[in-house]
Order: sequence, then C-alpha cells, then structure tokens
Amino acid sequence: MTSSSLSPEEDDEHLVKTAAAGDDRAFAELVTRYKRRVFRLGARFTRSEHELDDLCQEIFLKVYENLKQFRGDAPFEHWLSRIAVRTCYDALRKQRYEKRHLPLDELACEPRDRRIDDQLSAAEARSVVMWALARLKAEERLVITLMELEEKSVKEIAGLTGWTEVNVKVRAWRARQALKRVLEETGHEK
Amino acid sequence: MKNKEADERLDLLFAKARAADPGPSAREEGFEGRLMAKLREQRGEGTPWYLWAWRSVPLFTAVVLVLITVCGAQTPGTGAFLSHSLTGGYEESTLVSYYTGE
Repeated sequence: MTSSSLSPEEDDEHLVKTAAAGDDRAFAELVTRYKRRVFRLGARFTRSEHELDDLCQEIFLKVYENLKQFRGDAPFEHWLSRIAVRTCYDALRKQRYEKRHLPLDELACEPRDRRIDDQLSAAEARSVVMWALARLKAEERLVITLMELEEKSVKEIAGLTGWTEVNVKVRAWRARQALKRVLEETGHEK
Repeated sequence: MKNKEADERLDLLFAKARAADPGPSAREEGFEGRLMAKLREQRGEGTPWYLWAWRSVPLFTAVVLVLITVCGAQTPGTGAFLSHSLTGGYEESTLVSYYTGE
C-alpha cells in the first residue's frame, strides 16, 4: 500500500505505526508535517526563539515516547495537540516559578502608554497581549490564549486540557477579569 | 457600563492580536535534524565507538604513567645491588670492586 493511496488520517496512522516500530524516517516525516502547527502554538507561550525550540523539541520527544499509546480513535493531529497543550501548560507553570526568582530588571519590558483603540497596530496589539498575559496564572494564560487567540471552543479546550467544560468557563472568566485588571492598572484601559 | 466598555476594548485587542500571526520561526529550519539527534542521544546511540576511544585517551595516558612510575620504583638499581652485596658476606671484595670500577 503506497502512501499516495491513503487519506491524510490513514497516512498519519501508517506513519505512526511505522515510527513506533522503530523507523526514524517515518517519525521525521510526521515532525515535518506538524512542526509548523506546534511552533505556532508554542510561540504563544514562549519568550524567545531558543525557548520555543526547546519547547517544541520537548513536545515531539513526548510524542515519540508515547507513539505506542496512539490508538487511532481520533486523528493524529488531535492527539498531538493534546500533548502540545499539556506540555505548554507545564512550561507555563515552570516559567511562573522562574519569574518569581528573576530580578525585576529582567522583566522590565512593558509596552506602556499604548492605549487600546483603532490606531493600535496588529503587532502592537500582540505585544500588549503577550505582556499582559505574562502577568496571569498559568491556567488563566493557557485558557485565554486557546479561547481568544487560537479561537478554540469551550468543548475543544476541555478536550485539549483534560479539564471539565465548567472548569474551562470559570477559568476563562477569571482570566478575562484578571486581564482587564492588569490593563487597567497599567494605563492601557483609559 | 464601565465593565462592558472594558470587555469591548479587550475584544478589540484580541481581534487585532489575532491578525498578527506569529509567522514561521527561524528555528523550524533543520528542526527535524536536531530533534532526531536528541532522540538518538537519549537512546544512547549518539556516540560512535571511535569517539569513545578518542575520549578515553587521557584515561589510558594516566594509567600508563602510573604503571611506569610503579615499575620504576620497584626495579632494583645500583644502590639496591650494593646494599644487598654488603649484607651477603662479600663486603670487602664488593667494596673493592665498586671503588675500582671492576
């Protein structure tokens, strides 16, 4: 059976089985297919290119370690997304711990005096959001990023994080309140 | 009312931020190669035998130096031969031979 006669899902499944049997080329092919998506998600939670590279490597290493547990009930992409989101969450919790132990100077990169109006460019808006999100708790940052920037539904977020839908809603509401407070305190909300 | 305005501004901020897609990272290039190298390293396949041999050179050098030192200390020299002769009952003839160089 050639890979060209398979649907993308079947093709992924075939690659997963081959990779799990020890074929590194099959795994490298899976990485090539999905690295863009993983890098895109990882960029939402990391502060530098180096950190992003480390995070993406960690995600794919976890995927490799768990290949044999992939049962094919859902598409490979969904399974990979769950691992990616949970690894990002772990990284956020670690960042939060590190931030508490960093000198204040290293955190002084606040995009101040940027009012939120129609004049704000997309790049500026992104930096304001990143700056404000960095001040939230790990679970708040994760849920608001998935909901508002990745445009995932409550159900999808619950599936990705393993939280209940009620929990997702509560955390998202708290995250919005915290975000409004952060922006208000720093003069973005005037 | 104030809360509603804050919500609207937050939605505007998110809408604008969504438009700024992070874009491809420079790190995506050659990512597979780096990842597979790390994977091999984790599986313990990273270092071929000749690299291990090369890395062992300082250890072997140290072992050889220690052996040379130990063997050198145990080899009987002139002094040891002389003292043995002096205690073996040939004191006089040995001393004469030693001083005359015979």
